[in-house]
Amino acid sequence: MKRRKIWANLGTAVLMTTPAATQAGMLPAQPAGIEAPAGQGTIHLAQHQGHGKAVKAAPDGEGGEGGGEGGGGAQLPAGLHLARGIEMIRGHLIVGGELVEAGRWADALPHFLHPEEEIYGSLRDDLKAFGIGPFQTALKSLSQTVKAKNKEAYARARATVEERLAAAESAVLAKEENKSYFVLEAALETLQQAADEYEEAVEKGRIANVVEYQDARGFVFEIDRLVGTVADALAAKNADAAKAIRAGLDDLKATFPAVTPPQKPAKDASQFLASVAKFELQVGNFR
Amino acid sequence: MERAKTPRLVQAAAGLGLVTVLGGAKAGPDPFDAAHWRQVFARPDHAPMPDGNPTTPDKVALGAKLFDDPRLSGDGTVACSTCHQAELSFTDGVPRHGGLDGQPLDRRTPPLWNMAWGLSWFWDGRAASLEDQAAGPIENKREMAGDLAGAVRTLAADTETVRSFARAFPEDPAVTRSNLLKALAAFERTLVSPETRFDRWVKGDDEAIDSDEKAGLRLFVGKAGCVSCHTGWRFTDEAFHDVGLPGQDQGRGVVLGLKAADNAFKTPSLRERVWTAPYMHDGSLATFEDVVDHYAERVVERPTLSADLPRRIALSPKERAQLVAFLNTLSSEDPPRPASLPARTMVLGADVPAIAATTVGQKDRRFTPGAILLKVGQALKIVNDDTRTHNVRIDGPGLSVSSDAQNPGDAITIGFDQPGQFQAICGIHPDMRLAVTVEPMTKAAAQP
Repeated sequence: MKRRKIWANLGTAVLMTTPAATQAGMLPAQPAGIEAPAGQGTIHLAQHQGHGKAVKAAPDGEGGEGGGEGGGGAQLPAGLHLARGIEMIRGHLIVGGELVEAGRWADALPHFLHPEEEIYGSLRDDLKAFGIGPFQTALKSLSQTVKAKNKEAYARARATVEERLAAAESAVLAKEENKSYFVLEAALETLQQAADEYEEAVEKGRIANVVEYQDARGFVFEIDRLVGTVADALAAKNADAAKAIRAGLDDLKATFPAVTPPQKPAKDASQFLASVAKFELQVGNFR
Repeated sequence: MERAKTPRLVQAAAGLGLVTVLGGAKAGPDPFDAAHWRQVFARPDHAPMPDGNPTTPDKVALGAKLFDDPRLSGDGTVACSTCHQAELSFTDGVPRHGGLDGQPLDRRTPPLWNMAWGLSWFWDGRAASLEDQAAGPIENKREMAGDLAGAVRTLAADTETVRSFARAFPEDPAVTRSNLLKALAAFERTLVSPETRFDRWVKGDDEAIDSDEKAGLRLFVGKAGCVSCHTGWRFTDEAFHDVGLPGQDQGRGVVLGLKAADNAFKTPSLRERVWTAPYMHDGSLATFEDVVDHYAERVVERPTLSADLPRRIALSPKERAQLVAFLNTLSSEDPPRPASLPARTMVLGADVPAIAATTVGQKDRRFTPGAILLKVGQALKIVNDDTRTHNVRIDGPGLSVSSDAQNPGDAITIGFDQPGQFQAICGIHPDMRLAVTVEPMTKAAAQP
């Protein structure tokens, strides 16, 4: 049995259970192997580990429209939904990048596949609404460089994706009057997804699902960066709350001492959730 | 495998997707004529192969193995696939690959899609066949630094490799330089880019591309003038153009010994380019957007700029985005894998009906007529009635001619004092081919 959490209202989480078999049936299909050059057999490129989450295939065959990472937050306003998606993509890239730097290309690959396979599809309409150019192929090209284990090509493709993400982020922020509060809202939405991931990762007092642990790590570290971009504005508005925000993020980061999970988790899922809830309480101070 | 009847020039060109080139790659009818452009961009139903190197499964399998074999390199560490990585659409994702000397190579690693349809190979077209091309990187001191003679000896000492060669070349079961290069070329000819959404539009599915992409197509064949060079199903005219990129690389000019062709490089195909960034011969442009911006506003003005290069294109941001959207439709949605096409022997320009003529025009990048009959002692006059600079060349037998830069309005005269079959081409636009048959002077004709 796997659990899923539904955010019922501010600071409240309800844990739901669903039969594992049902979830397995909803896992995205393994991408087909790409044919190797003639005579070389078949190379299976996409080694998607799956998240153990309900991911409904979109009509175009792309996952992420249902209950995957991209599927959450569907009720959010377009700007916030888009910002959340961008931050999750960046979170994946952060942790994927760490693994690439460690030479762990195969471990990194899921983190470069998930943004396109699980998140991008849910952002397509938002991108159009904000007049932001599509960057799906840039994401695919980036994951190809990881499959190819080509560091130089990876660096270039990564830079291209980062440029696209920065442009998208700027376009979203440009339409927000209270930018620092909007950033905190996006941060909170992303941290809630991190809590989901972490919950999936921890099982019986250990990190059972490394990819989910790494997802959560990437999301938290990305949010740490993001909130840092508005730190001065937050401090000017409410220094105490800004300090609490900072402390909350440090606390969350401490859950992830390294990209490789610790033997014993620094927090259990409920402790992690509690830390996110503390962050959420502080966000209200900047409305 | 199928052997076709020896095609006539126009038929051969149609098979190679060059109809528009021969007919003149203009910006097309106005208003937009979808039927016309569907014909121009229609995919072929077979892949060409040369008469002397038929594509067979065993040969392709051997070529694929050799493509991955680092024993072809000097130090045993570099294979063709080191730069032409299958996961990266048979290129390497970087502007210029690092050479063995630690410095970036001079030019971008080209992707290998649809090489079978080439008329010349390398960015500067210095290889006349895919077999010739295959030897280049292997023996280049900065690329693989290989010694093919030594590699052949090494491979010949490997029992399994010897068996593979025997299967691939039953008529000549030996590990030789020639067979090695033939196998590599045969493998490369199988790398045919798959159908994309645009091809579905070409086949008549109007919904296969969306409104922005259609707008991009209209710009591509209209106002933006891209189709002047990027034409045919592969979106290349196989010609050499200076497109105004900064840099010192003289490209085709060095190969031809022709100043007018300085800074010119072969028009790259636009198939599967989503997967092959960065772009241009020097890898200097990172994205499609950068490429469009270059043509719209960053072209370096100089005398060698291609006559086919549109000048001062005013494109709004929306139009640029539409062009990029269209370019995306020429690539697969997911990393492409080679399509399967039957191979057929093709001989470009053979058996064109020849007519007695002593003057040939070059309008719209086409020798007209395309094949002529002369008598020994007659002179051939080739008039450049085109808007572009040409470079008429004849290389043998027993005759070597280069017109130098033949500017619009220029005429050259070539005398033939020996009978024989000759082929004239344009060094800048190699799809231009003229068959010249020189017959002996009859006794009656020789008498005063």
